[in-house]
Amino acid sequence: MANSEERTKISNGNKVLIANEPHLVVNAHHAKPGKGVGSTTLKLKNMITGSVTEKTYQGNDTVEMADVFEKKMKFLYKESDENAVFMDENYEQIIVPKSVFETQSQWIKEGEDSPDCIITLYGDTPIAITLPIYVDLEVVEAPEGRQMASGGSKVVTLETGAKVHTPQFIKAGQKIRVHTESGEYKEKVK
Amino acid sequence: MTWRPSASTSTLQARATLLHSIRKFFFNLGVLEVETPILASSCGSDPYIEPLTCHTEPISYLHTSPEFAMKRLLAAGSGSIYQICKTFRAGEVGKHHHTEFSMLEWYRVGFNHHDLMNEMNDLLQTILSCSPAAKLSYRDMFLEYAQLDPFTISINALRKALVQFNINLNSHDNLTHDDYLNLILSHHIEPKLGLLAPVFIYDYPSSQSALARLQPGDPTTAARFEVYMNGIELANGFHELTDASEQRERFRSDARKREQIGKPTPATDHNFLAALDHGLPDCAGVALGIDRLLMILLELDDVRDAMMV
Repeated sequence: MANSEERTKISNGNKVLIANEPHLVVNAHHAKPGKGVGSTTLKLKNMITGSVTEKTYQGNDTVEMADVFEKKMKFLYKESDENAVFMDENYEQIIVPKSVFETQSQWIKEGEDSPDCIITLYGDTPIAITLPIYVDLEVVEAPEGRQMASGGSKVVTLETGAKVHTPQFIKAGQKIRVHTESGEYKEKVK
Repeated sequence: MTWRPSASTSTLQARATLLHSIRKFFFNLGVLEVETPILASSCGSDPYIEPLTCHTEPISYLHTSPEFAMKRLLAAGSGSIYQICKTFRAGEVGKHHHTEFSMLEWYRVGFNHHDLMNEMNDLLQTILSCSPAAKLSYRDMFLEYAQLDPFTISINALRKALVQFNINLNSHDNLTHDDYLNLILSHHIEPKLGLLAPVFIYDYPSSQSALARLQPGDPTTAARFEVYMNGIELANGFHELTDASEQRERFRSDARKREQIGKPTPATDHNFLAALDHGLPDCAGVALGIDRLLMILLELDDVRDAMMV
C-alpha cells in the first residue's frame, strides 16, 4: 500500500507514514553542506492524534509515503451513539467513528441539508473531518430579555443542538453564522 | 505568471553590480580571469556531490566545480587566477540550494589558507560593506556552540549530543564520525554563525580535508576553511594539496565511501592527476556561492530569488 520517496523530493503538504500512522509534512527543511552528508528535517503532524514531531532523514534515507486522500461527502445520519454515516456524490457510504467526528457533529445538519465536508481517508479508514469554515444554523431556543449576569452575551440553542454565545439581540427563529473551529458566533444571517 | 523570472529586475541590476565589483577587485590585484570547460569527461570524487550526466558518446558530465580544470591551468604556469561560472550539482534542493548555481572560484599562488582568508575578508567588506570577519578554529566552534571537542568525542557521545540538540534521526545507516559532526554543524551550529559579521572556520579534521593539504606539524588537521554569514555557508577554501600520490589515495578513499553508500564512482580525471605529477605550485584556493552572496546582500529568503529560474 505504501511507496517510498527520496528524502529530497519531500515537500510541505506531503503525507508520510511514520510508525504506521499518517503524518502531514508541515515543513520540510533540506540541508546540504558543501562537503558532507545532506539531510532533510521534516516537521510532522500526526493526522490521527494531531501531535507534532520532528524527524531528520540523512544520506540515502527514503521516506514512506502514506496512502491518504480526501473526499467530499455529506453527513447522512447517526447510525448509533458511536457512528455517523457519510455519503459521497456517487452515493457511496462510509461510517465515521465517534472518535473522529465527535466534536464537529454539533455543527452539521443531516441529510439534504448537510454542508459539504472533507473526509480524510487513510486507506479505507476515515481519520479526520474538515468542516466548512462557517456554517449557517437556525436558533431554536433563545432566552428572552437581557441576561445581565452573563455580561453582553447569552447562550442560544441551535437546530443541531449546539449551544453558542451570541449577542443579546438574537432571537429564536433567526439564522446565525458560526465559526466551526472555535464554535464562536460570527454574525446574524439575513 | 510562471513565465516570469524568479529574480526581479532590480535584483538582476544588483547582481550585475556585484559581478562588476568582483571583477574590479581581481583586476586591481592582477588576478587573471579564466574560463574552463563546463562539459567534462570526468568529475570530482566527493562522496556527497552528484554530477548531472550528459548522454553523449562517451558519457560526459556538467562540472560540479571548476577546481580540477583550474589546477591544470595553475600547473601550466597561469599564475593566480579566478573564474565566475555556472556549476551543477544534482539533487541539491532547499532554500539555499539550486541544481544550477553560480560560483566564484579563485587561486592565489604563494598563499596559504590564512592569507586567502584575509583576502576574502577584504572582498566581503568591499562588496557587502560588512564588518571585518571573525575567525574561529573548527575545534573552538564546536566547543563554543555545541560544548564538545570534535577531535576526541566518541560516536556514542555524538549520538547523545544529537538527541540533546533535538535532531531526531530516522536512521543511523552508514553514518561516520564526520557525518555526525556535519549533522550537528548544519542543524545546530550553522544557523547561529556569522549573524553580526562573516565568520571564518578553519583547520578542519584531516578526515574532512577534501582537497586541502594536512597541516605541517599537525596531521590531525587540514588547512581548510569555510565562511559563514547570516547562518548560511558561503565559501569553502584550502591551502591546496599538491602531492599527487596523496591525491590518488584520497580518490581511492572517496571511491570506497561511495561504494559503501551505494553510489557509482565517476571516471577519474587523469589530466588533473598528470598536472599534479607535473607540479602544482604552492597555492590556496576558494569557492564562493555568488547567488548566496547576493541573497545576503539583498536580504533575500530563497536563493532562487537571486538568480533567474
